Amino acid sequence: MQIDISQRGNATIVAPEGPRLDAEVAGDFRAALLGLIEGGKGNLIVNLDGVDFIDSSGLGALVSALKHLKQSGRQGDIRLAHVKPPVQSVLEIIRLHRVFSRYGSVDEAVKSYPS
Amino acid sequence: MKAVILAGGKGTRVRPITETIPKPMIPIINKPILEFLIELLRQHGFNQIMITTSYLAWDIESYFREGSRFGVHIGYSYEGYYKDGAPVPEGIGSAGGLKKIQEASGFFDETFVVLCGDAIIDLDLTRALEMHRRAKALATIVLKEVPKKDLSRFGIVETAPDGRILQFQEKPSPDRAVSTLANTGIYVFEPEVLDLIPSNRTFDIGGELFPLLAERKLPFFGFAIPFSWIDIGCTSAYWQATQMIMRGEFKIDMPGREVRPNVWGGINLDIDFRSIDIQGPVYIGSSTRIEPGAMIHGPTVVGRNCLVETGARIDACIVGDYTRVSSFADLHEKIVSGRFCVDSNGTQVDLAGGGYTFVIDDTRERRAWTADQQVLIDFLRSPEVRDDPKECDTLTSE
Repeated sequence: MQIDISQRGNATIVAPEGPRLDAEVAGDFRAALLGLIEGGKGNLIVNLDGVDFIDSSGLGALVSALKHLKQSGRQGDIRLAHVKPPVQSVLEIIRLHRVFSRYGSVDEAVKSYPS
Repeated sequence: MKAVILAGGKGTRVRPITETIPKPMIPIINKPILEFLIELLRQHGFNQIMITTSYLAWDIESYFREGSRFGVHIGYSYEGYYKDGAPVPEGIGSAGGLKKIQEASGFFDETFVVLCGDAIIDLDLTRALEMHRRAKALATIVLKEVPKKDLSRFGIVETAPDGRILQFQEKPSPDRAVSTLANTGIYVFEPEVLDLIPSNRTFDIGGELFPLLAERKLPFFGFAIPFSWIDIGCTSAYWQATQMIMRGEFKIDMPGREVRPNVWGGINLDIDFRSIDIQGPVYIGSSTRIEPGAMIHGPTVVGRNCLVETGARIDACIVGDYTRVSSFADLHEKIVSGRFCVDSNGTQVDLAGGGYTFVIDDTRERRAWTADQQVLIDFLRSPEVRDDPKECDTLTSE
């Protein structure tokens, strides 16, 4: 799976290539996020622009990374940009929209982190 | 008197619900649409009812059998064939279906009514019959005023002051529409109409038979009669229809009994009403268990043999039979079952295909969770995701 990683200000943007963030690609996605956290990155933004579908493995990867970040004691968060309606519906149904802040664009997500 | 209900369609626009249920069997507060129509026909003296079936025909035929349970005689005309022991639906069009019945037995030997099996109505059929007879019509369409914005969903009809039909428009844009009178798919026919239908080929009532009647200038009328018409044309319409009925905007006899003010239920319920947050109107099907701490806000229908777990939140939903709504679920304006989850606007949320069976599932499933699912389950149980504990204060008390 192609995962683009870029830096904007003090935020790191992780963009998995869609359209499905599922069991087939969740391992790579999780490894990418954990690698960034291990490498000292804390302010993470996952750009879901290309993602139409996220299954429990994909969401499990996001949650694992968030737990890892919190347990590391490092400042930071995992925030989502460009969440499409089917993904948003899943987040709302299982109440994870309370955990992952969502933004309409990567720019907005970047600005949400203190500079 | 005789009637026919067209019930063979695949209900494509009501998927995924119609993947396993034929559209006329979609339950409205646990009663199939078709049953409402049969009750209405019986009330108006129609005691011989033919039903055309095709897609998932057995579901219809095994439910209504020969009709005695419903106080009428019912027969079926199956449209399709069997291949290697399995039914293969093959529709022959709405008019073709009538012709097939007539050629088989000459069943239609008097004025008869045609209904579509995809809408709930409270039409005064006796009055429709009277208007048809008074006009000495060969065919009569029951028309209904519809709002201008909805015109493009319907066949629109222009009539002369005496009711004679002048022209049809199929789903016109609002600015092109010649009237605001829609074809409801409810017809009164004389048997002679069937002579216009060719044998052994697909033929449609709206698209082919009616233009033929108009072209030949036969006595063909349309009358607007005020009545309630709840068309279950698409998935969102199904949700809206249920909401309307639960709010009392279309009167039906609620099944079961009123177990709490504005809350109806079947038998064998496992619910401690003092320990749940329930606000009517709500209907709960028989043998359903609702655990303490669950929230159900109406208008909501919960099917039979469901399990609603502690902490689950259901607001303005239709929950199908045998559905487990886990403590992780927060459902707002959804149609859900163990197989599917659809938003009130018709958008599908693929919970089952996405491995979210720990959120919504069939109560009869026994599953082991994958490692990824277990990560999510553990996280969803953690305090940062769980509701504010103050929510417990909202529990109702008797």
